[in-house]
Amino acid sequence: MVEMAKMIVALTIISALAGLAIGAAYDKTAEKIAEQGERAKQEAIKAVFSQGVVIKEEKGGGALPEKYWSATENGKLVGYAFEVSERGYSSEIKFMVGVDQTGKILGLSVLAHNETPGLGSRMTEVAFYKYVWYPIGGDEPGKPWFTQQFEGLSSLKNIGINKSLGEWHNTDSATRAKLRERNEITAITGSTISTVAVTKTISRDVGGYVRALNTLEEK
Amino acid sequence: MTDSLTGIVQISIAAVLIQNFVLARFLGLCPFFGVSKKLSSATGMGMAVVFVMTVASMITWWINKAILIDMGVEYLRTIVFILVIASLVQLLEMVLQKFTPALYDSLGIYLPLITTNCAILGVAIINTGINVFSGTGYSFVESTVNGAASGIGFTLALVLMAGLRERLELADIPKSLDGLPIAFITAGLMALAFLGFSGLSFFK
Amino acid sequence: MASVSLVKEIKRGVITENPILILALGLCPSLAVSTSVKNGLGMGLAATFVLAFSNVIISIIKGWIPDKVRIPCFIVVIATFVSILQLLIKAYVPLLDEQLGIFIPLIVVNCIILGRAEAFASKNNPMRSLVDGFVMGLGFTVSLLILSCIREFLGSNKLWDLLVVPNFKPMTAMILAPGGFFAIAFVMGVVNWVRGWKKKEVKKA
Repeated sequence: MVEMAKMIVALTIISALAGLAIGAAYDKTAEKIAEQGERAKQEAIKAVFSQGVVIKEEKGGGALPEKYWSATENGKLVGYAFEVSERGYSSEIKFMVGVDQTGKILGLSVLAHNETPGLGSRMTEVAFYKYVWYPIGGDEPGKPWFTQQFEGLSSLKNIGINKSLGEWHNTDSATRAKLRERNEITAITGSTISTVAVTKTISRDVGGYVRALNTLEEK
Repeated sequence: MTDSLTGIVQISIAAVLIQNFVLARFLGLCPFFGVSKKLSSATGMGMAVVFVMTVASMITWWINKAILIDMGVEYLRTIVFILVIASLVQLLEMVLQKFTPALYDSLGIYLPLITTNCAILGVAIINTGINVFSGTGYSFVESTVNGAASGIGFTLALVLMAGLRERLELADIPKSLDGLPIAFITAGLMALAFLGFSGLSFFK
Repeated sequence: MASVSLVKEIKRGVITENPILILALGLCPSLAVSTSVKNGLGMGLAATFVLAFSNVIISIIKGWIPDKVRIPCFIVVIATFVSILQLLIKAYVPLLDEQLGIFIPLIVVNCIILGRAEAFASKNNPMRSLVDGFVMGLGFTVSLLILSCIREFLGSNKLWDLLVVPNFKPMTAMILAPGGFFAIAFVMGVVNWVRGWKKKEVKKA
């Protein structure tokens, strides 16, 4: 009996101390964690517009999302940013899309995903050619190629997926112009599902938001 | 009832074949290599895992919803889940021993091994996340099905592996690869085969 | 004297008792996160953190916990450090949190940590347990780095996100699940081969 009591006391004390320790750690980090999430979002919004714009948070509702952002440059409206998400192959892909009033995509930035490493996760891969044995100099890493190819396409039309031209970062400028004309992007090799998730969401959600905003303005 | 039958079928097929716990998610490898030398013990271990995973999914789903989220202490999830699973395994052992000695005789020795099987904690944590098929959190039925199907996926891999390893025993293997390395290569080939299921798509 | 024994300890953790390659413990995280060198290093350091701290605490409290509830108490201590680590990673390196995902909470059930608690920390003083935690963590990290170098190079022709060989077409399968199994089989095979060869040398002499 005494032994039983001892066991219970020991376990209780240890669990209580553990709870206290984790609680303290949570108190110390909670603010920082929230800040990190907010900062990631702000950076994503900035990334979808060109530099020098003023970003304002807008309240939506109805056909629009609860929260979206508008960007103005020298007092003139240049576009909106919407946060959208869709299931990919193995996770929820969250991304930020910037569009202007005509529905032209200004930029796209992936906020969070957990797709298969080596396949779908390449949506955030930056195509730059720097070698292990010469890591200094050369090109600076730019934007991820997968999201960059959306720039200039229309969100009001269906975005097609081209599988015959190879991946965008390996194509020349003539091919890129042709793709843009057809409102098409190239898929990530081996991950059609992740690619489709992104294009489908843009035509469905972002295109819909742009239409809703335009009808609002007409009224 | 919000759980459509299609949703449940999707979850089960994904958990058994496409996102197989062992061969695609890399969960539960220790028992996978530890208990796959003999077919009979593999079957026993598999049954025990299916059983514990299903029950653990049900209980942790409820605890997560009713206690952790409602009280706003989600940061205690890891520690609460592992304690719940550890006590659940103990409790199951006692209950089985008392009421169904026959079942206890066949599963009993595998139960203590299950506490540190990362597949159990893994499925409990996956159930707190987002269900990729519906885009929302797992419902009670969905997480139970997910637990059971993941366990079945584990068992399938384990039993296949045990069958292969029993045959391999007679093979003439290079000395350095004998034992675990050849088992890893076998598992790798199985994983390659299971990659084929990733083409199975009910996304569109 | 102290430095000599430290070298010996490191040799024990990294070579003679390497947790992954010799003892085959903690396989799940090592195969799941070794898809790139960055992830491998992150996981290695995370596990080392938990291993070192939980070893110290366990060796301090070992005197007054009843033997029968020893394991649950160890698990609570380990889970505490894992939770704290999880919060720290979320707050300071959110990208790593996204990459390692579910495998951070799963450090709790990593057999290396409970194994060291039971086999070493519950029998030795805090100082030695701390050293043991560090060297075992080091061994884990080193093996993760070996595995992830092989996989990242063969699977995406990169190391630490930098290209390695011009015009080499990588085999994506090495980053996917099968590649993990093949890579560890290869490394373990080499380790066994070297050990067998060393044994022969000793016999000859």
